[in-house]
Amino acid sequence: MPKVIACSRRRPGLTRADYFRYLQFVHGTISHVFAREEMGWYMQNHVIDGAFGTTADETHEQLSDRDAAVELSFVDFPHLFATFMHPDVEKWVASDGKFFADERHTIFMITEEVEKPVPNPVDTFNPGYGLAAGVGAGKVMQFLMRADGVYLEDYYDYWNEAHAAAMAAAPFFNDNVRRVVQSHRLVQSDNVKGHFGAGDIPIYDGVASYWFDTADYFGAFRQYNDELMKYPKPWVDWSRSFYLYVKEIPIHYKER
Amino acid sequence: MTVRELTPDEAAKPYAKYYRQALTPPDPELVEQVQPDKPIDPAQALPPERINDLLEPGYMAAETGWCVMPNGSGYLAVRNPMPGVTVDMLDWWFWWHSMADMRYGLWYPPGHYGISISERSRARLSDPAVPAKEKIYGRTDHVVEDIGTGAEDIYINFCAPDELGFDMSRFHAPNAAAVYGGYGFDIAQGAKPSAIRAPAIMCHFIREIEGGIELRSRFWMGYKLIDGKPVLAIPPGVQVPAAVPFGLANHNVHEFCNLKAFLPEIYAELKDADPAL
Repeated sequence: MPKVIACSRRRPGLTRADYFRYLQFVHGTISHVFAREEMGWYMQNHVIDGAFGTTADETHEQLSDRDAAVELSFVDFPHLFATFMHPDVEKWVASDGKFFADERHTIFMITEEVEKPVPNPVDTFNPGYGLAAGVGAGKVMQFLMRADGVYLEDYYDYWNEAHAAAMAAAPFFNDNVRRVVQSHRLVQSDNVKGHFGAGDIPIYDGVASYWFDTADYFGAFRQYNDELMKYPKPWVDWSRSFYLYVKEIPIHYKER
Repeated sequence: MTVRELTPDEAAKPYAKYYRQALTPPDPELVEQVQPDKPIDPAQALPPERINDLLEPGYMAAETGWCVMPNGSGYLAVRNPMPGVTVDMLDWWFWWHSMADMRYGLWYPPGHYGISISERSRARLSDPAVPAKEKIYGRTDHVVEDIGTGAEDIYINFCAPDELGFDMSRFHAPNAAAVYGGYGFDIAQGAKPSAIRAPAIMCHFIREIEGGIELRSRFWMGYKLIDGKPVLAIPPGVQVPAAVPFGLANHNVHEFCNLKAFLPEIYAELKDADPAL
């Protein structure tokens, strides 16, 4: 199932509260009205906090503010395109973005989800603390920029190796992470980025999502991330990568 | 299209002579069947979902030709008989050429400019314990090629036949001898990384014939392969420009006619040589 990820920052003149309010109650409502049968699910991830680059950087090498990352999943490509190119969606949904987002800087990608096993997933009888069932209420989204000179296929191999090593070396994370999903960019298919008004945007080939029971466990992610960064191959440009602590706001909900 | 000048290191290689030799003219029959103003009837095209039809004996109505399909995708087919060429030769060629720009260039100097593979792929190609076919599958070639529409960066992920969707219970002689195929995408050279990229599925299907093999190429432009199934990945209303399937069909005729002329000789000369030579 292809999944669209769009990560934006608020447009000039808006407070974060203004942006979140508009994104959820106006844009989310419009989108929900035009949600088509073939849309799998639409999740807004409102940013609580985050970090850009590393402490080794003297200054930022990227835009250092992101306010939300939205995810829209579809049953297949034809339905994804049909949704984004539907005249009503173009007229009402796409045109609404400029009222809350600094569109030219919106990171946009079409991805494919790759589920990674975790030792302690949320029990099937326990829906978890979040609005979305089965995943936990605290979520981290990590945008990992491929380092210059690393082949795409190697990037994904190195990512798997680095993830396995970090899992093994981060017991607090290992015990408390409830779900891990890697979203791999389908490089062939950025054909609807115009919907989000995206300009010449930085390219991220991978986004990882990690769920915990509550935001109290975000420290576990830090333990994992420290280990991830120790992987000896220079596969990620850490100065241009970032992670976000987010709150999930389901707009068009279907259990995953 | 221009022929790239060799570097001094490349010019000193023993196989540089193949780069310098005159191009073998394309088969006139194939050239006649691949004309810019003569697309085939899309009803005669093989849909990617029916890739297993290639395992049937005999031939299809359109073994050579190109067209734009009603759903906007591009299609091309070329049947190129190769007397004197064996599957072993092609197995060798399909991994050996990926190791250096000039090797890829030998195939068709006016349109093949460069190739690169990852460090890990290179290690596999150099490993004598990995059988020739295993060296092909799972590798991504990053090539710079001009099929007549300008130089492009092309990424080709080579797949095993089952990953391409072939029914392996029928994938044997005399139905099939080998397949070199996969999926990938291309982007005009110099385009920004965020530019739109065109996906495609590629299949070079090989059957043994009296005295050699026949190569039956099929390309489905606008399709991506997901879990062994072709998926149309272009928006509704968008069409692959006719110049693209025509250009690639024309290029295919030229490159494989040139390759079949020197492959037996270069294979005999280098098949046992150090891969790093």
